[in-house]
Amino acid sequence: MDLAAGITPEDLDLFFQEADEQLQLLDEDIIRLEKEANNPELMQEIFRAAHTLKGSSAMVGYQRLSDLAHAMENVLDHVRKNALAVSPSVIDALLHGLDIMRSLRQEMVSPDAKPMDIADAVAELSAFVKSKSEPSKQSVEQPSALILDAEAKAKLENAGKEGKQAYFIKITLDKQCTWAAVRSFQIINGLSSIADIIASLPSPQEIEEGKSSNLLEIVIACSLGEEDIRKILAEVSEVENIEISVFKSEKPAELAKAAVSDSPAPGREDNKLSHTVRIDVNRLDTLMEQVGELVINRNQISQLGKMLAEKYHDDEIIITFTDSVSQIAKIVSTLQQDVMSIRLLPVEIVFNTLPRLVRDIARKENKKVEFIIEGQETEVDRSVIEHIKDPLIHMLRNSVDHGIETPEERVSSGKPETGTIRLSAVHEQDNIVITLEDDGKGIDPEAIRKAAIKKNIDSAETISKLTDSEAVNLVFGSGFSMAKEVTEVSGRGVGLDVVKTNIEVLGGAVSVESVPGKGTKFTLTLPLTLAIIPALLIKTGGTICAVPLSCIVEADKLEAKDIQTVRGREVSLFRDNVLPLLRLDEVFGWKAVENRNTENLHVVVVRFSGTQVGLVVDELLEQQELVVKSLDHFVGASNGITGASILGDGRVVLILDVASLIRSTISERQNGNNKKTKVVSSKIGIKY
Amino acid sequence: MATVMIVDDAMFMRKKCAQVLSQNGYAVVEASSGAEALTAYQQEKPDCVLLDITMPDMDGIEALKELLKVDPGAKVSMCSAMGQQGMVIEALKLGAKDFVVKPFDVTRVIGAVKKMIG
Repeated sequence: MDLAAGITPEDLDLFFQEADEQLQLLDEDIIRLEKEANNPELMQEIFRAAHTLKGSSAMVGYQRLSDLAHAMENVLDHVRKNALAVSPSVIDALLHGLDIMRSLRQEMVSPDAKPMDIADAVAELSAFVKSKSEPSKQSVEQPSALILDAEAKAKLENAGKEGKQAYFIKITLDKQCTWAAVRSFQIINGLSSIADIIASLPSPQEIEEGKSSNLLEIVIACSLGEEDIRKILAEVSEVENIEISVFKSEKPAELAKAAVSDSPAPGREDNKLSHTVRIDVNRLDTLMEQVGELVINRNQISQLGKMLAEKYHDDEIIITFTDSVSQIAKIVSTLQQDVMSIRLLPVEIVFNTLPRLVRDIARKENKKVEFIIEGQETEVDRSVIEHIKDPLIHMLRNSVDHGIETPEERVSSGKPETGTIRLSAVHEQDNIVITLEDDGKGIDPEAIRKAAIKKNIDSAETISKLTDSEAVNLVFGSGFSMAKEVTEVSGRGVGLDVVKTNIEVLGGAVSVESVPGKGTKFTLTLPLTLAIIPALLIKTGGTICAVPLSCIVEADKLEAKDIQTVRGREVSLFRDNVLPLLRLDEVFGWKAVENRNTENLHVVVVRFSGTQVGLVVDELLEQQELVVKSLDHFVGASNGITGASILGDGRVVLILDVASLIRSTISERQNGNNKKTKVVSSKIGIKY
Repeated sequence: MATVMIVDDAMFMRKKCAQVLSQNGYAVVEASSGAEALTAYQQEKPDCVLLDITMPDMDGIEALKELLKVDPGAKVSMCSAMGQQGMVIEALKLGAKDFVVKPFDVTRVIGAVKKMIG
C-alpha cells in the first residue's frame, strides 16, 4: 500500500499500536452490545473506537480501512441515535466488518498480500443505513448578484446613523477547502464580532443549512477600518483571495477597541498529565535480564560475606561489610519484585478475546450461552500470558461444544434455556488459578471408563478401579477425545491432552471436576512467572543440577537395597507404588566419580502428566530462586534440559526438563526397550 | 517559542500532530481528554489549542466551553472529522477561532496554528 506523505516507520508503529487496541476494543464491545443494547456509554465507546480508526487510518493514507471504519461508524451512529435497533444481523454485519478490518490491518504488514475487497462489507453495513447524501459535497452554485432586501436596507440605514462605514467584501475560498459552508460561517461569525452583517451571498441562513459556495460576498457595516477587517479575515484558513471596497460612503466614526483582557491565572493544580508510559517489551526483557544478573551477583556477594564472617568473626570491617551487603540484598530483592511487577499483565488481555469465540461457536451450534468473566484484572507475567491463550480456547470450545446442551435438551432436563460458562482468575500465593466452569451436562465417569478401555489407555482392570474423579481426569490422557462425533468446532483429534501438556510445560497443573447433569469445572494452576523459578539443587556424580520445585512431589532418602530391578530397569517401592527410577549421571552420560557414596542415596520424586519418576541423586543441596537462562543460543534445544542458571558462587547449573525426561522414559517403556534406561543420547554436562 | 496544546484521545493523531508541530519549531503540550486539557491549559498556558471534537467523557464542545470559562481569550481550533459540520458551527458560535478537518495535511495544521498565534 502507499503511505501518505510524511508517515515514517515510527508513525506506523504508533498507528498499529493504537489500531490494534481499537480493534480489540471493538471486538469486545460489539459482543457486549448484543446484550447491552441500551447502554449508551458502551455505544459511545464503540462509536469512538470506529471514529478513531477512521481518522488515523486516513491519516496514514490507508483509505480502504478508513472507508470501512466510516461505514461502521455510520451504522453505529444510527444505533446511537435510536434510528436503528441492535439485532443479531446488525451485530453480524459489525463483526464481519471488524474481521475485514483485521485482515486489512494484516495486509499492511504483509506486502505480498492480495488487496482485500471491502465492497461487500461496506454494502452489508450500508444496507442498515438509509441513504443520505453528504451535504458537504453539494455543488457550487455561482451566485448571480448580492441584492439588498428591505430588511438589509433598514439595517444599513441604522448603521449609518450610528456612524458606521459600509463595506463590500468578496472572498474566494481555496478550491481544496473541505467545508466551504462552515468556512463561510466562520467568516461571517468572525466579522460579526466587529461589524453588523447587512447581507451576504449565500445568506447566513443558507450557510448554516450547509449551502456552500467557494465565493462569498458580504456587505457589512462597522466602525473600524479596512485594516481591521483584513486582520479578522486573516484568522480564517483556506481563504484564497479577499477584496474589500467601501460600499456606501458615510462619515467615519471613532474607534472603539475592546481590549481583550488576559484572564487572571487560576490556581495551579498538581494533576499529573499522564499516569502511564508505553515501553517496548524488548526493553523490559532486557531490564529483567539485568536484574537477573544483579540477583546472581547479590547471591555471590552474600555468600562471600558469609565466608568472610566465618573467617574473621569479630572484625569490624567485616561486620560493616556484611551489614551493607544485607542492605544491598534487600534492595535488590525489592528491585527484582518491582521489575517483575512491571512485567505483569492483566489476564484480560487474553480473556477479552474469548467472548467473541463463545458467541461464534454458540451461534453455529444453536446453543444459548451466557459467558461470564471474573477476575480479569488478575495479573500474571507476560511469559505466562502468551502461553495460556491456546489452552483456554481449547477448553472453552470444549465447554460450548460438549458441555452446554441445546436449549431443548436443557429445558427438558429442567435447566434454564441459556447455559452459563464462567471463567475466572484469582491469585493464590505464587500462583494464578484460572477456573472454567459450565452448567452443562457434565462428564459421565462411566462413559470415560468405557472409552478409556476401548482406546487402550490402560488395562481394563486398572481403569475399572479408578475413582470417579480419577476417571474424569482421564480426559487429559493423550489421544482421548470426548466428542461422540467429529464436529467442526472440536473433536479434530486434538484432545485435552494438548491442554495438559501446554500447561505442564509452564510448570502448571490442570484438573477437572464434574457432576453428571450439573456441569464441569476445569482448574488451571499456573506460576506467576517463568523468568525466575524456585528449584531444588541436587548433586549427582559430582554435578549439580536444579529441579524446578513445581515438578517435585517429594524428596526422600533411598538406600541401595531399596532399589530393585524389574525387566532390566531399576524401580523402587514408593508409597506402595512401583516407582521407575532414573539415574541422571547415566541419562546424561556423566562419568562416575570415584569414592562415591553408593549406599546412602536420595530420591527426588517428580511428576509430569500424571506420571511419577524417581530421580536417583547423591545429595540434596538447598532450595534456591534461580534466574532461568535459555541455552538455545549455545547448544540448541536439548532434551532433558530447559535452561541454565548461575549460582551464588558463580557455578553454572543445568535446570532439568522434567517433562521431557518423563516423556522419554514412558516412550521407552512403551517401545518395550529392555535396555537399562538411557533416556537422552546427547551428552550434556558441565565439569568443574 | 510558541506553545501549542493538542487535545485528542486518539494517541496516533496526537503524536503525529505533536511531531509535525515540534518539527516546525513549536513547543507542544499534549492532553488526551477534556479534563486533562483544562488542567494542562492552566499550568502550561499554551498560546493556542488544537481541540478534537470526538472524545470520551467531555467532548470537544464541552471542553471548549470550559476552556473559554477559564480563559475567554483562549485561541482554540477545532479538529473535526468528516460529517461533523454541525458541531463545528456550534463550536465557532461558542468562540472557537478556527477548525481543521481530518484527515488533515501537515500544512493545514501549521497554517491554522500560525493564524491563531498571529
